[in-house]
Amino acid sequence: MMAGIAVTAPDFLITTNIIRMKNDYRIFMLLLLLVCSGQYALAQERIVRGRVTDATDNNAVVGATVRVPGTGKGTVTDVDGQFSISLAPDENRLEVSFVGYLQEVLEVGNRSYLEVTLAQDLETLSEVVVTAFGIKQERKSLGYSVQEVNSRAIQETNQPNPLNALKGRVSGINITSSSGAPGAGADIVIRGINSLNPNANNQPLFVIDGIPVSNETNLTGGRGGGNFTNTNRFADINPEDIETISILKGPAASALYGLRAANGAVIITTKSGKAGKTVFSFKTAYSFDDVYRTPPMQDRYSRGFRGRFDPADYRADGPPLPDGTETYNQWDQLFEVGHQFQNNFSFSGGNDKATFYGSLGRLDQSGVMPNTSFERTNVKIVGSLKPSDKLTIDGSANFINSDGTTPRMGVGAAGVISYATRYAPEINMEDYINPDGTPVRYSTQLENPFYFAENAYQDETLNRIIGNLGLNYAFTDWLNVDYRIGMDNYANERFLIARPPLLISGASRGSISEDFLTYREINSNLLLNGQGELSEGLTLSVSLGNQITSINTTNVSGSGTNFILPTFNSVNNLGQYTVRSFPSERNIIGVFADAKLSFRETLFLNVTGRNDWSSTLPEANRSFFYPSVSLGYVFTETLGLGNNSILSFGKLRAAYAEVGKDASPYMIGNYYSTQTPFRGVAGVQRDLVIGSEDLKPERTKAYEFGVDLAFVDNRIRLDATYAIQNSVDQIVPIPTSRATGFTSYVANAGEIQNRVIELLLDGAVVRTENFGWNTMLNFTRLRSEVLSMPEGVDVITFQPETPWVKQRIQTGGRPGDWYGWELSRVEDPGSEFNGRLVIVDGYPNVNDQWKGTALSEDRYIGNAFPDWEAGWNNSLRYKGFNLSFLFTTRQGGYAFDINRRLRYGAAGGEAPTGSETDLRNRLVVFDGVTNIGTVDEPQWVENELAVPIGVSELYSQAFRYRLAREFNGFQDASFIRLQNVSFSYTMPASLLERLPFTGITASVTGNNLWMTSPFIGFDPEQSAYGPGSNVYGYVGTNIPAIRSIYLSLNLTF
Amino acid sequence: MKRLYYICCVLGILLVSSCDSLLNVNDDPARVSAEEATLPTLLPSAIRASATTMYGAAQYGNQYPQYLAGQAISQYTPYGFDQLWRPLYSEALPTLQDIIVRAEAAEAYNYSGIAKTLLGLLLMTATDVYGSIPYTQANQGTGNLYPCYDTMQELYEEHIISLLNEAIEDLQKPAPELAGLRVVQNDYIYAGDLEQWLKAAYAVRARYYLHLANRNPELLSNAIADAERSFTSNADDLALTYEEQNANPWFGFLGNATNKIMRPSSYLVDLLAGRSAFAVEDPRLTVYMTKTGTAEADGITPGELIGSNAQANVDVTASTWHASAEAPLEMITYAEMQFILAEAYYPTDKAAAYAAYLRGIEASLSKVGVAPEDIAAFMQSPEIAVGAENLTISDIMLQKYLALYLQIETWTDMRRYQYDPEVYIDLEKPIVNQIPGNPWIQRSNIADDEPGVNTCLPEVPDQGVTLWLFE
Repeated sequence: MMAGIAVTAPDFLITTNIIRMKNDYRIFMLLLLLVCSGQYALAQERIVRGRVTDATDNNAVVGATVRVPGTGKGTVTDVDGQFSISLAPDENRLEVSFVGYLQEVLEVGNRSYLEVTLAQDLETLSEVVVTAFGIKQERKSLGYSVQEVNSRAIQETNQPNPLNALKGRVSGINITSSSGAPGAGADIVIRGINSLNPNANNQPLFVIDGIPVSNETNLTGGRGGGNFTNTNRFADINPEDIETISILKGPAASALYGLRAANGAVIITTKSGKAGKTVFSFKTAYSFDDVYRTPPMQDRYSRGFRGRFDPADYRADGPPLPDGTETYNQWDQLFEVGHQFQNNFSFSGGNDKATFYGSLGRLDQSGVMPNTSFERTNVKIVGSLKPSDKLTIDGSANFINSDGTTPRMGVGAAGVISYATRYAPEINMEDYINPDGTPVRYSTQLENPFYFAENAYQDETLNRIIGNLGLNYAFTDWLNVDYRIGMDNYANERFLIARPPLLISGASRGSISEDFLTYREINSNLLLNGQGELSEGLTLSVSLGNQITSINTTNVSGSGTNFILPTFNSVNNLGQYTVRSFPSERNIIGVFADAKLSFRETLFLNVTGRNDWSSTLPEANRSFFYPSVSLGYVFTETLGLGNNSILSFGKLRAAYAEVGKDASPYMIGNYYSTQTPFRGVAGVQRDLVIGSEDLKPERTKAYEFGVDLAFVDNRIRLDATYAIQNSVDQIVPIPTSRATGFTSYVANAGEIQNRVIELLLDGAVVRTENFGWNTMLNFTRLRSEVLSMPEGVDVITFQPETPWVKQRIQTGGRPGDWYGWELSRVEDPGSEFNGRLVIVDGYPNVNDQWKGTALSEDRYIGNAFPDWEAGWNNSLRYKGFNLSFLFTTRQGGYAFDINRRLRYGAAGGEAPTGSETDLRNRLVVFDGVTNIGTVDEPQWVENELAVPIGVSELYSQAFRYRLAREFNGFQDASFIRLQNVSFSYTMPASLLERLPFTGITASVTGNNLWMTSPFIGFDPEQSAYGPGSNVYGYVGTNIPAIRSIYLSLNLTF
Repeated sequence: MKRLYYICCVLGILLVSSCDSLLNVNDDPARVSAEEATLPTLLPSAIRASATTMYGAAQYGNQYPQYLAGQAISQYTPYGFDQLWRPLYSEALPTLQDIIVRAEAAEAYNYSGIAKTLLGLLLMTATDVYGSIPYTQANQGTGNLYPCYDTMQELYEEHIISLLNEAIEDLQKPAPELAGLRVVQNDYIYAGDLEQWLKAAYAVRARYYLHLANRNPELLSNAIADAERSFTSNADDLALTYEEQNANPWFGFLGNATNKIMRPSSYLVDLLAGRSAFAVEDPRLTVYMTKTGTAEADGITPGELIGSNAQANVDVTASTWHASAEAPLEMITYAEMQFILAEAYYPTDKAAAYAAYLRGIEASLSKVGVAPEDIAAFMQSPEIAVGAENLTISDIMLQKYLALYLQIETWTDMRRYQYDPEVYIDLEKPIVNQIPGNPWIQRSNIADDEPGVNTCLPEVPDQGVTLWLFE
């Protein structure tokens, strides 16, 4: 027995790595195993050396584990990817694995040197995940649900907004892109809406490299303005810089981050330098974007009214167009092919003392509609330095500049999409300007969409710097301190214009607004970490921390009306103008503690507590404490199933957590505001919102239960989670009667419960050296319920001005519940006519008007949120070829297509341009029954009355057709979508030898390539009210979602 | 190690010392506190809000007296007068009551008198539209989240009259002690002239008594007395004059709008064009509206929607008197006082009635800038100069109708006479009437904002049911 001698060299390597990765229990265990098993090593060992590289870019894989299966013998690769291991004569196989890569099993044969390439594992759940405050933890030790998405899954979609790349990949979250406009924002909600407030922000906290950053969406015109699809600020981040995104779904996972993470947290780790050879990498991608789904339009009827031709009438209710008349499809005219040109250059390198990473990214995008564009430049540098064994210093700086233009869209009638919807089919929209520069207009009610796009738009410029600096000092191998300070600072300039000749400028005589918004967030995190083994098998690690957050914003806006000169585009050209300034300051101080106890790799207990002090709450209520506790139990350890080949791992977990949430600044009490000057005098007037002086923090209380299972040597994994989250004491502006002198008062009230089921199934279906197939399925089912409403408030209604479709929050209901009017039907279970349509004077009847039902009476017609959502991703690898495809689906849930209403009839600006109105000028007998009795004692007979149908008789009639939910645009928004397909080819190393590159990958990627949905209209995924607006399901007013096909090339050298 | 220790100490000190200053930052630097607001800064807001409220009542409501037409409201589709409700309860009433409370505390009765005059006017306008409205329980913030409504009878018999009586008293009280409040500042209408405000208060009370005389004809004498004490010329009118950069709301709504959603109705145009009660072309036709083309002026038939009436050729444009940028918005006028006198004297003193009738017409014409010779010619035409003995109530009310163009007061007049075609000659119901039974419109629907936020709502019947005042 020559214990351990042969493994001396690798042993040293292992030791150093363990110091570096001291949180990695797995390697720690491995070391123990090695020490124990080494005693049994045989004398006639041979040394096998080799190098492990990444199949994509042929770079060294540092820290990969090389093991001899069945023996416990192993080593890890060094900074050049090199390894060396001794094998007994009967040992002929090596297992090579590393986090984020597919495991390789090799036959050694007679070889003494092995080139091992590891393919990146696109979807496999990684063993180590990033949790709160960047603490990496083994997945198996967690008592709550965390899901991580790796860089490749994000980057292969080529989505300029990295949030969109997460679609369909993570259970329990819902991502909604507000529009297909370049630079448009997206919205992420984790485990449902927590707030009753229609204006509340339900966005999670975003943390990049340990420092919270802004993901605000400053909607132009405020929330509910809805005229422009502003960017959510996380979209500024260069997707190519991202290493992983970890989603902390529930309060148990995010509690340590405090009140700002009450809606969960999105933890982003960006790329940093890797020791070893300096690697340069260049990626370029070019896309073809188009709108793939448009509402059907009619091309048979001309302008006019009631069948009479009128060239100046905006309504397409004229006579049939003569044969041979040229017609134009509104959407073919309006939409064009857009392009994105993405370029990214990065470099990385270093040694064991210092590393660096730098990147330069550039995106140029032209949209699918006139006057839409977006360009973004990202520069990032990251460095780390290890002056001594105990001290690590790192820092990064990220500069972002972006510039975008979008025309005015929006919920009102004055938007590009809205105008195009109502354009008569025989008019060539592209002929829109007269030689003298005046617009071509055939009606005083309609603007030409092209002319409008060029004259009513927003230009937005952003300059942002995100920087952070970190110090880590290890006092001993069990105690270290980590201090990190970070700043996120941006200035956002907005220029909005509506030039005088526009119809919407009638009253204003042209308007301009120049807004200057700044945001500065400084975070200081101090964290003291200690860990140790209390007794055999019982490990404790404790962190104590302090976090100070200071957020300052300014918003200076110069705006006005009355152009002095017709073409001078500046606020200096306004006859009437005001300047307004709205600064705000919000500071939060938090102290927290986190204790983790693990017992024999079987039981894991985690307890946290945090106290926050927030400046936005009344002094008496501004300090608040909240705890969390979670427990994980690996029952397979107890059962001794560690080596079981069928059930290889099993864990039960449970967690309880509370998180508090403060208010926005300045919500307490009541203020007066100065008015715009009038005849040289400006007055003051009381504001319409009053805030309770007793405001307390909101609280979210969450329970979470789950099970994690792994089968067939960890090749198939199933994670299932059930979570119940109650949000109580919500800070809500409660709408009040205007007769109180206010429109709302802000108080704590109401409770919402979210119940969510999350399933995640991940399997390596085929895993051989040349061919691999991974599949991953995730499923989310969310149910929300309003448990109580603010006292005395029965209902909070959104959009009360459309009584036929409105969202209403009330006790027992669910956020997103819609109420509206339906076609009247016989409601008499005893009658043979039960359920038949009620026909009055030959026409269908809406909202029981036949019996004189009040307009205010309506009924539940559906919910805006899906019954369930799922994503199914597959990645296949054959030698250098990779194919991945991702299907996403949403089943159930409705959307209200504001656009569809505009395609009908002639009441409030609608024009019968939709193909729904194709059927005109004929007699029809509606299939239904007529009442020949009285209202109280109806007597139903089969309807036999033939009536003419047309725009004025039917489609524009509120109580026959237009306002019934069956026709008014309210529709099932279910879909199945091929969200992403990516096909790539990586040249093998053998072909690269004569080229100056170490890696070449070419790929074709498609986003949104195919979808099927019962929804008629544009893509139902949209948000008319913008990201973070908390109003979901209103669609049809913005640039629709686009389909993109990218050609891209990655080079490393 | 030592350095690190120092760094930690410094950070710790910074942290402890700055906690309070970090947390005590929740006073909005961009807004005004209640203590900072003053009477001279509240008054201009109150005056603007009052004008906005009066305009809001008329903006769509003017289709009921058939001045303009073209919107679905003219077909008697449900309408809750949001444009009146919102500025009244969110701006005018809170600011006026704020002034009254602050002024009474400071014994600045000059300010409270003005505020009470305006509040009386607005409440009367609102109750004439809605019937019951919140008043005694209104504007109490969180003190009463569900304000119950006062009935029209309570408003008329108690609240409006006491406001107006107090206004008249206050405006005659001595000036306040405080130098800063002695002279009313920032008064857009009368530049702080309390004599003028007193006349205005009498004018509002004259209107009040005329309304109430519908239930008690004896009050006509009160109306006469107050009207006599009120305005003596057009220059006294209670009106807010707008400026180029802050245009009259009619300018933005119709005057300067390319897409005009309402046009003058055929009833109004026929009356002005001499095709109805008066067989003489009224010189105000070209001042009230702009005609395109050479055809005879023609309006849109009440109940027809905009765009459906091809022969209509007149519009409210920026060059009309009421819808130019700098037009005054009339709230109560000298001309109206003369028509109140004419109507009130009519049963008892035809000569006085006739004289007032003529003064009203002349005031109206000269107010809108008709040339003196055209005024003279028109006044002398046999259609107008009918003589005291031939004067009819119809003559008075129709001329008042023309003089009060675009004011909501005319709708009250019409309902006082219950749309009597003997008075409003040739008046017809809209060609489309969405109220069952085809009645005349009598009232507003309940304000659209109210259901769902107020649990103390009165039962509001359909808009065809007559209000208390007009019973």
